[in-house]
Amino acid sequence: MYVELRSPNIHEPASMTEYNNTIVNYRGTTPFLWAGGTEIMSEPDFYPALRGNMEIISLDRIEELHHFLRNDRYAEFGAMVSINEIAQAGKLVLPKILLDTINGTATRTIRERITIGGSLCTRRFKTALASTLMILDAAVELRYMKKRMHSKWFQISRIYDKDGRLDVPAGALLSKVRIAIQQYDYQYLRSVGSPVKDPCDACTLAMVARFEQNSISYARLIFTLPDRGFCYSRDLDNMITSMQLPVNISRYAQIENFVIDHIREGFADLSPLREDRLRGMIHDMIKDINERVLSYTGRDVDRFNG
Amino acid sequence: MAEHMRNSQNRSNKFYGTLVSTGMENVKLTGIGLPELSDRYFTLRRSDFAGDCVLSVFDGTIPVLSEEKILYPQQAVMALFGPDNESVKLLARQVTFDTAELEKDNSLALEEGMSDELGMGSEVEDRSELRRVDSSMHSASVQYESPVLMVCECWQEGERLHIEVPTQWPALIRRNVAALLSCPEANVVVHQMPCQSRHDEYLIPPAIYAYVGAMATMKAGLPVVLTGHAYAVTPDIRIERSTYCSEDGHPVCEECRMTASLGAFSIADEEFIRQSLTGLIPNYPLTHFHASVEVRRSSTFPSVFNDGAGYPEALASSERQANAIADAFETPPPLWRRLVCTSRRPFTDHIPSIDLAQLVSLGDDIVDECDFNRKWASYSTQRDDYSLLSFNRGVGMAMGVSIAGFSTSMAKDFCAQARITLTEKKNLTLLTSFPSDGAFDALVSKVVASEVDLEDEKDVIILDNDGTATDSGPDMLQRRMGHFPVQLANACARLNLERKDAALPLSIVFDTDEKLMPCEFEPRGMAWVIVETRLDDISFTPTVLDVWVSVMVDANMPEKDLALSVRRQVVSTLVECGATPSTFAQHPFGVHIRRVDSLSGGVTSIDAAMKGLVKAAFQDSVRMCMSLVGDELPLTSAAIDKAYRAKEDEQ
Amino acid sequence: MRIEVTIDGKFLALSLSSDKPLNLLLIDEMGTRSIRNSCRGGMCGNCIVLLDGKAVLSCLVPAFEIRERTIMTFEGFSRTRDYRDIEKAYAACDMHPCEACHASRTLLIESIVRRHEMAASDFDEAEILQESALIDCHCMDSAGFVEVVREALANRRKRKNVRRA
Repeated sequence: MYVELRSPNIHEPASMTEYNNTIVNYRGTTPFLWAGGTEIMSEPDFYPALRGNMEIISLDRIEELHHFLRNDRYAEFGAMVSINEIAQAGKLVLPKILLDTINGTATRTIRERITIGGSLCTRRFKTALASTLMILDAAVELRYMKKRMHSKWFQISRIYDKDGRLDVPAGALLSKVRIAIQQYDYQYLRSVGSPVKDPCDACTLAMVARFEQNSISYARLIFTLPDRGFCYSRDLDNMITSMQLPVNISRYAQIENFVIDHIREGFADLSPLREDRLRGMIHDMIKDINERVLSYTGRDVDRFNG
Repeated sequence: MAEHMRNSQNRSNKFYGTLVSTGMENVKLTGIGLPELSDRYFTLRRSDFAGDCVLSVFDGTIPVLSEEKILYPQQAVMALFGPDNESVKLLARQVTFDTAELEKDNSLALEEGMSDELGMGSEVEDRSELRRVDSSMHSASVQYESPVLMVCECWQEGERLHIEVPTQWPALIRRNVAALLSCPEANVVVHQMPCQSRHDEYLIPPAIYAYVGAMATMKAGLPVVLTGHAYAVTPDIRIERSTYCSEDGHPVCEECRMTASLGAFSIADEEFIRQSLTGLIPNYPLTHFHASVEVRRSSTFPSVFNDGAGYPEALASSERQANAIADAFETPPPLWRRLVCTSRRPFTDHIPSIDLAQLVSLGDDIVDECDFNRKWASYSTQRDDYSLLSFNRGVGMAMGVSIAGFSTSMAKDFCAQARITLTEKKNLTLLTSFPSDGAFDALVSKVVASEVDLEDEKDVIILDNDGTATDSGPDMLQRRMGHFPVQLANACARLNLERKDAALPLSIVFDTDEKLMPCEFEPRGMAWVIVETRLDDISFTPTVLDVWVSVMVDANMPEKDLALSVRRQVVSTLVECGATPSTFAQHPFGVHIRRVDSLSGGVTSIDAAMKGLVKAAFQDSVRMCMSLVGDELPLTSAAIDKAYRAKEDEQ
Repeated sequence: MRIEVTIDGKFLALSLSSDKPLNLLLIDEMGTRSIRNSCRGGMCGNCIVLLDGKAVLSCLVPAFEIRERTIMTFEGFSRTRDYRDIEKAYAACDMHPCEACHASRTLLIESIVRRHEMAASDFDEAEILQESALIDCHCMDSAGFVEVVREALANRRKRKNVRRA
């Protein structure tokens, strides 16, 4: 017999303690954590659905998750802070690449509803924001909800498995994100395609670097393939770090091929379009680095900052 | 009244329903698995309908519910009703289907369909001295589902059945439902709700909903509400053209072949052929021209009227070919047209003679404004070359005349009417089943005011006829804005004559389409379009920077409505073609419109032309960026990437 | 689930499914005519309402989130004086949205205007251009949208006599 539609139960804890109590009370069920809801609500069959016995825990009223603080070394944001608020609050101090990533995510009306915690925990696709935070060495705090609550900080890359899937222990809550306040000599971000409408061919390249005379002394780069995961490694970073600047034309192809082979190792059967987009982005990045190096006079330090 | 009735009904005394379809095409249904239903739910299946259970549209029929052959994904199998929307939607998801491959004898025979030809001038015997220029176009079939929730509500009131639904053609619903219920048409009252129909998606789906809703109301004895989304499919059209030109770049003769797949069921195929042939006639003079159009069946929802019944694609191919010839002779397209299009275009059975000098000169201002010739020269030299910059730019242009509404032959077969009445109070009332809105009302008032002397300047009132009194035909192909005002003006002129001898109130019933014209179509305005595109070698997405439009329209056409219609048509066509309007802060996308008033007196509709011209100009601008891009629209990033790879292999 | 909410100035207590999207709530329960879209996650942008004064896509807001909050639909907004500023801007720029997107576009513009009306600096044009892509309707180009926003903002500041630094 068909079971009548029932409304899911909504819990709106006002503090972490209340949240913990809710989790403990509903042990045995898998509560559904609700941050901004933009991803969940945009699933085509979201409503109506058979989720009568579901316990939804809305995190919106937990004061602590809306806090943010800043000191000289880092900025710390609660998981429920919207990415738009982050961009507004950190306009002058946060790395430019992070601000660009946020500003390139949807439109402001939607950004106001996307929370930083939610965008790190998406299920259907990987976001460029997560990858940018990885190369910026951001850390996240996970709260473990047991009888006694305790927390632990992790490098952001450690909350994903090798396939880019979220790998947070059951019952843990991503509560804070900490971003180091530092600028880099060079920051590059290029996103192509929409991760929501065109996840199979979309890709993003983010890179930060420090220069030393005519070489790169520090580099981190990461590729995001929304439907597949993230591609980053020490090998790629080292390859960029060893580059002599400006890069000559013959090295372009070598670097391009090395990076593409590396991505192929991680993600088999890339579509031709995606491969060409990735090649184009690498090419564009090297060209951009060359332009900046060649026009650098030594007096104008700000020129390197994006 | 509909509002009053709706509000007076209790929500708990209604049944809510949805249509259930398989989402598959070309299959035979062997079994339907239903979830267990309580007595508060009921289904409506093919066997509940006496007779054929088909919808009659023009000269064709479409099955409403089908439990044997499923030819296209949206084809409804059954309807499910229950006490609330949500549970019905959930149950509908649980319906399962057993299918088998459709046997060859039963499947769609592609040979089915029809064809027609058009020949002009005398055949050129010797083509050996002539240079051949080819071009092709392929508009792939695209399915659209409207995001708007379509609600069809049916209820009974005594002997009358009321249907409230957004539709483009209330009389179609009334006629079909009356046939289903074997009752007089007067007993079916259609309350036409407003709808924005971008692809004529409110022509057939609302009628299917109303048909099922009417039957469900009878079965349940209670009001029913059917909800869903309207859908449409564009036809798959391929056009190939070959022109033979003399050494100085003048075209001499041309062959043109168009094939179109119009969906699973035949509806007004002949009209599609007529419209297409009209668009295929090129603007440049030719000694001999031959065109053929062939329509076929395909496993999609009927698509004959979606996207303009073939005229826009045909016009686009004509203009693409003109640009291809100009390109072959290394002449800027506007200049080539100025050199070649010097005389009048000859009169044909499809469209009267056209003053080409007027058409060519219409673009002078925008050619200068956008600096077309300089851009064309500059961008041509950079074609396919991405070595300096990571992007290329291209410009494309197209010009042509527009048509609107049905052909004269169609109008003769299909009678659609409206009525004007000059009342004793000197008001003029118009009874029509066309939906009333700001633009239409303004146009009607303007036309009436220019034709009828209303003395004390009383109002022009457009009556809501509740879908019972008169059938003005479907609101599509811009009949309401292009054809109708001309017919209305003629009726007003008759009224002016007759009122001298007759007592008021005086009524005149008139045809909404022209039946006495010597040609199938009348030109309803002229337009030029220039598109500037940027294509980068990373995203492989064509970004349109600017569009310049010059239109010659009737002075009666309100400025606001013209701008709205042009902008909308330009942007929607670009998006349908796979382009992205620019959102670069330093160069946001803009549509620059220039208007020239025509003194001819016919009211204008340039939508059909705009669609075709934008397609042609856009495709040309992309070709200027990358010459090996295929001929298929919508243009995808994968197709551009393929062309990019082909070019690299070539090098 | 019982939800108390203020819609267009009316305080209402509704009993409905807690996860029902706001757009369906407005269509089914309130009979709101300005919202007719249910794109089911398609981001068509044609279901904008003002939630506590800020534009939101109502299909992305679940019913439980509107408890004790204020919603303004186009029907309610079109009765306010603020609406006149935007109507005047449309007329001044000769940009007229079509009937399908008029309601959503107007509320989006209102939200942008409210955000900037008291600000000392001019708005970020790139951000407004990006916002224009939120509504999937082709009746207005992005440059025209920016123009209307600028005009509406000027009208609002003039009417409210806001002196900018």
